Amino acid sequence: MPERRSLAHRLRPVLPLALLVVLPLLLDSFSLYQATMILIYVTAIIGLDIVFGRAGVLSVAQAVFIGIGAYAAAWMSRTTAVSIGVELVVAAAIAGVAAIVVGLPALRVSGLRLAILTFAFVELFQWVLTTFASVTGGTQGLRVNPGGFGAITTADPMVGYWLAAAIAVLATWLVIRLRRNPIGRAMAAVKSSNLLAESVGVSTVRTKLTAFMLSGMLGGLAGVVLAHVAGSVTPAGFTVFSSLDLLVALILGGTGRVHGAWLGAAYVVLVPEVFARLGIPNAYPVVSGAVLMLLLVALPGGIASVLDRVRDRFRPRGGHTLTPATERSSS
Amino acid sequence: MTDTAVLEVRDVHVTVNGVRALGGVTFDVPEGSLFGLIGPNGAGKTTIMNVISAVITPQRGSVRFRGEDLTGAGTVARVRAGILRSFQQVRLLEDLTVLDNLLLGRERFRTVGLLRQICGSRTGRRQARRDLAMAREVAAVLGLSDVLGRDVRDLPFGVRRLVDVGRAFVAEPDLLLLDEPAAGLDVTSRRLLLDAIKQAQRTTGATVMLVEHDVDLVRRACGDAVVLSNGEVLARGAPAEVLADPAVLRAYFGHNDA
Repeated sequence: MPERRSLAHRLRPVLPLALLVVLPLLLDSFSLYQATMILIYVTAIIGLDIVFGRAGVLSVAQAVFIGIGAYAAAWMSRTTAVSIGVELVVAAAIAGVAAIVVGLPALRVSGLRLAILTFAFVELFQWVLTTFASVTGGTQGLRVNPGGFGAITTADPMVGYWLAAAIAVLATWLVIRLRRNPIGRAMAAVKSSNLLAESVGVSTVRTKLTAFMLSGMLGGLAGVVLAHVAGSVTPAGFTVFSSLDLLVALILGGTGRVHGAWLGAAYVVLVPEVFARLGIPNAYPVVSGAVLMLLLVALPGGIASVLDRVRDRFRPRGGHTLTPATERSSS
Repeated sequence: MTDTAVLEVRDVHVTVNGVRALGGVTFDVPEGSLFGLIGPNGAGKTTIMNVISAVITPQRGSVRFRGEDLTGAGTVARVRAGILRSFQQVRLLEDLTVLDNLLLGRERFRTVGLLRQICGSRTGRRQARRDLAMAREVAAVLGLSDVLGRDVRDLPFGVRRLVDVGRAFVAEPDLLLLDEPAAGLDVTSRRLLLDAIKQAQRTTGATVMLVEHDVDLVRRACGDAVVLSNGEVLARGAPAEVLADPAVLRAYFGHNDA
């Protein structure tokens, strides 16, 4: 039987959850918007982390899944009267299926060649958005009608925040569950090597497609919230650069670590704003690129690994937890 | 040949890039035995392991497991049928704990679907308890109980090797193929590893095929052995007998073209 977890361990989620509850009460409208964007990024980056950080499959198609979610929400908000809950379910399902299709090449190729193939899907998505303008609004995109549950709609920025927070918490819970689960171990095995995975009975096909599906579903959920918070969707929001932005955020934050996605999301939302306030917004890509290179060389585990090292330094050594935890340093 | 063979290898031919790796290999592995497969470097030992575990497909010949022809069955299907293997190089999930690495061996019993795994079903919890009990039992046999919570990357090579072997035993294999498990270990560690393997074999009741080029190890451990040389079976029988065979001595000491 696993050891019973300590009270301190059980109470660990309380502080961050309390922060999420209190934060919107302290923020002005612009900061609330930024906080909401961070939460949307968290969901999308966790999705990417599942496929790249956990299963080791390099994909630059995450923007496609976000785009599918966003356009599905926009289309439903304009043509139906369904609640945002239905939009979330439908968008997650469509994005999940699309992700399985995008993931099919991963069964044959890997690494950079796979990244290029997933890039092709991003370009295909852009072509669809701009070609079928009668449905997608073409390059101008679509306006999104506020959605919600009855009288509570996303026209209120606070609703957008709560929605984004709930989904980010759900995504975080999912990835924590995965970590302590056979499927998480199977993903780690696939990431390590197909030969190792298959030699213990892990189906690499099923594991990779599962990773893609979860990644796509989270992307789709993030897309729905993004559409409602932004109020409109355009193809420009879902290019390969959007995917690379997420990838950079994940690597900066720390792959395979729950808090890595949160740190990465905060970085890509807040740091450009800092440069904008300093009056040098164009410096952001240059500095960000330099920081990324520096981190890749000096801290391949990302910002999260620094926090882990600090925490490990203060952690008493010797006692070994007997609870399976695929990753001692996370959460 | 024996009536109680768990594995029957028949006339297996493998050619890689025009070079013959196996030329009609035939042997049986008796059920419940600790069986040795020995031979000098390049004899084809790992190749036959790869054929049995479906990592490579032979051009000719067959492999039968418990009387069933495995032709067409992939690696995962064979693992689920009960054929497990280890590799010459230790292959572990470096960022995970010893316990997690051992539990990976239980993957072949996985029946719970994704949603129920994530949400935590009663079946899933029951399965997790069984998995944990088996992992702890094997860890106790192999002397790994004290390091279950440690990340494997922090452990010395000998312990990592034990974890690698332990993961295979946790899978409760019917047939376990160990590819040079003692490679890279000193004499004392080899002896300890061998004792641990024998004890784990007794505990789990698995048939173990030990692939080695260390003839002393096989002599001490195995009841039966096959000697491969140049992709062909050179001799078979009790280790002491086959290792006294002049043809085997020639193959090992290089007095012919082997």
